[in-house]
Amino acid sequence: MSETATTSLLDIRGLTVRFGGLVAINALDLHISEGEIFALVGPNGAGKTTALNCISGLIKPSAGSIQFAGQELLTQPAYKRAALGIGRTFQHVQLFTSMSVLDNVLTAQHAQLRAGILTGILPFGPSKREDARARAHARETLALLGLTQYAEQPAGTLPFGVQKLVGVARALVLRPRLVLLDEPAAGVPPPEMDELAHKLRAWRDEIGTALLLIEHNMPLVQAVSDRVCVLDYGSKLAEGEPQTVLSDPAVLEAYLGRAASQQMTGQTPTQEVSHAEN
Amino acid sequence: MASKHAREQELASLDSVQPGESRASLLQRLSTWRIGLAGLVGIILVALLPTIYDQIFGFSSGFELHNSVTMIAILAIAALAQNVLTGTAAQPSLGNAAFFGVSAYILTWLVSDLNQPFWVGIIVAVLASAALGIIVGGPALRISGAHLAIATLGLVVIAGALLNLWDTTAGRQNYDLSNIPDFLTDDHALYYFVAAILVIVIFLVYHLLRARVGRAWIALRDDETAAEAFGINLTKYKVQAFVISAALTGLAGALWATWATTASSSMSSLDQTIAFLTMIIVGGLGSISGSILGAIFVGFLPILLGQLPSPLALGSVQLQVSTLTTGVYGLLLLLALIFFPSGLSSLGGIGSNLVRRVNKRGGTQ
Repeated sequence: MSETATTSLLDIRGLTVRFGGLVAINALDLHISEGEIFALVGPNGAGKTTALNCISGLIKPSAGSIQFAGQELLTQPAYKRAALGIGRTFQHVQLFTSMSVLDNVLTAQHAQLRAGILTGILPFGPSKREDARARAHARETLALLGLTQYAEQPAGTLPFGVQKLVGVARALVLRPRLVLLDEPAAGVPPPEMDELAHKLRAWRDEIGTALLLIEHNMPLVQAVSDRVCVLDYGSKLAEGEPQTVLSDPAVLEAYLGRAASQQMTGQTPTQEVSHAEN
Repeated sequence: MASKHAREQELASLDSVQPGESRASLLQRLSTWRIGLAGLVGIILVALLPTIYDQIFGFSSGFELHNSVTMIAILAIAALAQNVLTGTAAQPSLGNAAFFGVSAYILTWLVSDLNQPFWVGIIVAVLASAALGIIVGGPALRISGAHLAIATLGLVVIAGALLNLWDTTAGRQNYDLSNIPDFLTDDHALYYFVAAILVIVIFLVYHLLRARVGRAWIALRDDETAAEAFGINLTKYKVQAFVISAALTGLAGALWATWATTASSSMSSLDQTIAFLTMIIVGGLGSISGSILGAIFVGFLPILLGQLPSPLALGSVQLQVSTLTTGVYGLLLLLALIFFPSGLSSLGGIGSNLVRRVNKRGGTQ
């Protein structure tokens, strides 16, 4: 990972978000390298999802800058960011529920297709050729995630675990340079956690994308991430290698509060966190 | 690579996976065939209808079916227009009746007053409606939901009042469309003309809804936030839906004026708006077949009510049947929303589900 250390893919500087009087994020600096797996952790309300929404453009920050591959993101409307190479999943999946799984993944390629009304209205021509390519591409991505058998099913009727994978397929289909994953482990039973960690790394290797994930499950964070940043009340509490950061007493206190201090001697605190969140 | 977890979950949720898969793809291919076949049968039926009708009832019967079917085909175009905007792109605009009326007046003005060729009139009316769609749609989409509905309803009332004012200042009772090309003055020819346009419109809308634009509309209906995160420019696609809808409604309005040989300010009215809404809600939101079923329903209802004796005596109350229509539409609108919100088009789906279930049961035994 010597080359990834030198090139910064995402540069967040002085990011501040205020909702009325509430400071959700306070002068946050984050740097994510090409191909890195970076975990954003912290208690509920720490501003993790807010930070993600700033990157994908759903929230306009009050101050700061976000540079992605050398381009300023904050001057770009949200809908242009997918074309720049940013994919994302949502905490509550948010699939296009009335569409089939295949159409979900097809729709996620919107930014890379060109057909408008005049070409789209015809049953032949460039629109259909473009669609055929996109369809093949969608099927490849579904195969990568083991979703081929669900391709024609309506997305809204699938079990939650499958819907989450469809959400990932949507995020990966454009082969983005950065994928934002909002709680990929939520709802995944603990025995599957090793497999999820393995899969996250496999997706990263396959697509060559950087992953920025928000996660409450500490064993997963420890297993998968190259670096971790802990947020608390919108400020950065600690950042670095997962082993060092997650054993930092200040982090443990912020995360677990008083309740955990009694249990510190018993189970490992990291497991405790995941139970608290589930 | 395929997650064991997902497979297990699927095994738990669906009882037969492997045979189901091949059957599903077969069913899919069959249903594509079925759509094509239904379309073909529909076209042949539509083409033969006047001939069959004349064979049975003779050329000069009182109840002129093909005349009504022409009207229904025009309504179906308007229903498709409203359904693209409201059912697919989820914009609850009630303003389409304004385009319907204005387009009819533009056509009549161009052809009757300015002596322009009929075809020029139709094309200008459609383009003017599309342009109005942009002018109205842009600002209208800054508001959403009920606010959009009320604002666009206001547009309909204002347009209707202005058209009425124009009639009054010009001192005319009816704004008659003269100079229609000779062959369209024949009921049968007009019927074929309108039916051909409807078939083309259905064909184009069907493809548009399955293309990138249609997927973008459905995406913003299902989840605006996710749609935007995946690169869909919400404003652009909402305005596009508005424009397509306005242009199609304009086409329907111009054809209506041709069919009725007159333009009337009542085309841009509350009643017309309710008729449009009834078509797509009773027919089925976001469904092409629903638009057509809804148009058949709304088109035939006044004819059926017309069979009742008028005035209708209910005890001591005397009812003028023609005033009943909008009331009945409203009532059916409510009933449809409560009892079958997916509309008439879903009844076909329920039927085929039943057939599939029966088949499946037969297959497993």
